[in-house]
Amino acid sequence: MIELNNIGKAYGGKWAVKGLTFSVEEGELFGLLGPNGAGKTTTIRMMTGLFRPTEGRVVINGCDIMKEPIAVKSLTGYVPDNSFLYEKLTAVEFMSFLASLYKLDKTTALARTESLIEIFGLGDVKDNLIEGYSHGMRQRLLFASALINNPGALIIDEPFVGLDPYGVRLIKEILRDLCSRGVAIFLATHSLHLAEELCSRVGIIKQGSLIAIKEREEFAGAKGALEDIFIEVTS
Amino acid sequence: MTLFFPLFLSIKNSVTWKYILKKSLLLPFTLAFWFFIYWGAFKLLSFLNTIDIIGDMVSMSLLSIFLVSLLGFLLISNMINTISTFYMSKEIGMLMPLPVDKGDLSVMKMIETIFKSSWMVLSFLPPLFIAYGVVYNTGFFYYVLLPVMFLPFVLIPGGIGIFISHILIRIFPVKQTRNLLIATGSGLLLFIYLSLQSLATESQGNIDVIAGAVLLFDIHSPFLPSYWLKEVIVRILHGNRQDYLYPLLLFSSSAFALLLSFEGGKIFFSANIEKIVESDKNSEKRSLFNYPPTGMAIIWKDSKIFFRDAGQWSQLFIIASLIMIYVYNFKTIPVKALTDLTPYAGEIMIMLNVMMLGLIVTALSARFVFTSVSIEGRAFWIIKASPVKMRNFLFTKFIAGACPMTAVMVTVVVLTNEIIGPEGILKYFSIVTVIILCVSINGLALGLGAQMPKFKYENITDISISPGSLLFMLIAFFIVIITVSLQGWSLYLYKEALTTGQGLRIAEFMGIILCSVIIIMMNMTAFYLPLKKGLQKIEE
Repeated sequence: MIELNNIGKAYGGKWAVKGLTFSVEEGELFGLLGPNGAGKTTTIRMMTGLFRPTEGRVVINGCDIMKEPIAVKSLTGYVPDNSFLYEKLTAVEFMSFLASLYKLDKTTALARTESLIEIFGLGDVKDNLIEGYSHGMRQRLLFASALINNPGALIIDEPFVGLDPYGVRLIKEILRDLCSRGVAIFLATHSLHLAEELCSRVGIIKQGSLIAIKEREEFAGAKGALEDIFIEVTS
Repeated sequence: MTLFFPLFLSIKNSVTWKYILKKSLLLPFTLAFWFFIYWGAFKLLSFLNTIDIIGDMVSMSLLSIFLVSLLGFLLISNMINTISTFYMSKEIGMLMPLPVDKGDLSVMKMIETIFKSSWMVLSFLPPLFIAYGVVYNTGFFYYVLLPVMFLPFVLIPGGIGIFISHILIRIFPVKQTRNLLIATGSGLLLFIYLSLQSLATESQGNIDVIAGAVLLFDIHSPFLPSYWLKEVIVRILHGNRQDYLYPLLLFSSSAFALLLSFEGGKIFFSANIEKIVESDKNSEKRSLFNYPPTGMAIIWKDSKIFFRDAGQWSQLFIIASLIMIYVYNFKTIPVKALTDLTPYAGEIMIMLNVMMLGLIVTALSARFVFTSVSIEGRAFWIIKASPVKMRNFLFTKFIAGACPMTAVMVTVVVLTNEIIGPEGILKYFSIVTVIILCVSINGLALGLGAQMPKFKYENITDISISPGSLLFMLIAFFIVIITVSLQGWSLYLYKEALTTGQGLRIAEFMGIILCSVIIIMMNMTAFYLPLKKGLQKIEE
């Protein structure tokens, strides 16, 4: 479903990411782990079409993001690590704006907006301006908006930042549910215990290069196993 | 002082040679403007000096009116800026939870407010007062004393304005208060302008009528700081002995105003911030499901954000006032009398009108169209990650800017044409030209704005005064002036041929065709090329 083929990004001749190759299958939750500045966000930005790769290809559902960006974006949902939103819109307006960009018809847009807003627990504030939202509410709204187009692939950058324990549990359940429905999920995070709990495979990135890929069997046995692996390969 | 460290460090880190070079582009314009003010003031004061007795009285009354207006302007400006710096700044949210003394924070914001409210106005005062000094042949002491006396004069409306705003925010919602103040300020300016314009029309150049009106407008209240400053200045200009009461009043009142502002800050600031945070949480609910039509989503979103951001739509007041002034000005031009002076008066007026409208379109585009890509801000990722072609994104931005602006400009040109009363062909000619300029200048603004976007900004007006915006305005001015000049020359040939009855010669006919081709090519290039480059930039 998601395929990265030798992708790299250079800024002024210096490589931030180089030679990244891996794939995420349907129903799989792949975690990309790495220390700060390792290149996780750059990788995600290339996967979502925000950055143009200097080399290599990103293919989602058989479409190259650089050649068919609209087709790829129509199939993808993206949850960024920041919560920059349109402050002067309400949650409902923001969702309907996105639905219109994804060219959903009004009935579908209304149904999905209402359903996602309820699922993510934003019903009480759905008609308030986003400027009054807490960080956790914004994060929930970002997740809800990423699912407005019923995506086949979901790309998430640091999913649990600012969420309270209820929010974390909710997102974990939703991610598991999406996987069970065949959605390919790519997740970049610092949180090793969440990756350990959720991911079927993890990749470890350091200084822009993928230095290890571990299967669930390799880290699921003992608590803290993934942390040991991470420390070992990145030190 | 610790609170100023981020500001000092930001300035230190941003002042590079490149930055200085960029900013120095503004220097010739500033100097030209300074010279223009000096020259105008010098001519006027020199002329008044030639009139016995009444000339000096009028000069001093003009000074008095100017200082009263300045005092009022500084007061309103400080009140508006207090709301922005104390209550709407992003910095406050970061500083309030820190172990910062609220008194220190209040002092820091007080200095920031007074500086922001006064520096621009004060920077244009030197040429005016140098003109007074030169005409009245004052000594060196005048130029030393003046800045010293202006300091307390600026601090008085600063301290009082800040104090009043703290109280207003205690009573009224923050954004509505700011809108009300902006509307009041714009209304006052419009009133002053229309009063002066009306006086100029009614006086018909009669110096006695003008002098009488100036003396009538003068406010002699000894309770106003403008009166105290005027008394100090007048005594130096006339070489009279100084009365120390007035400097004393200026300095003691400024100290009192600062104390008032400081105490007001200590009493109201924290409580007001708590009130604002509460009101943000309970912001107005909007429950209708308005679904934006496909293809119009970006315009729908932009219009909602625009009309919910008081800082944006309140500027429409100022624009509407300026357009009213512009149309009103045409009513006062004696077109018929001018026709007696030159047979081309109608054509000249039409071309001047088109040129002025072109310049207005440029200014509006710099504010609303050049900034329209940057205004997406850090939320631009939403558009980039959505299945929207950047070409369509730019197109909707263009439609959103160009359509209303063209509609307004065509309305203005139709109205002004009604006043000037040109022949049929000239009427349509001016309308078509304005439409061409609206399209090309909007395209240019959007294209350059997309090439030089600034997604991280504190205030959107920062973008419209950026070097990129300045470059846009220079190019747009050039296009307007070339377009109007070539059209003016073509019209001249056409009118000449009609008047003589000999028809156009082949060379003249070819000249008109060539001018038309140049105008069309230039405007098409201004529209297309920057948009193409801008599209490439945002796609990358």
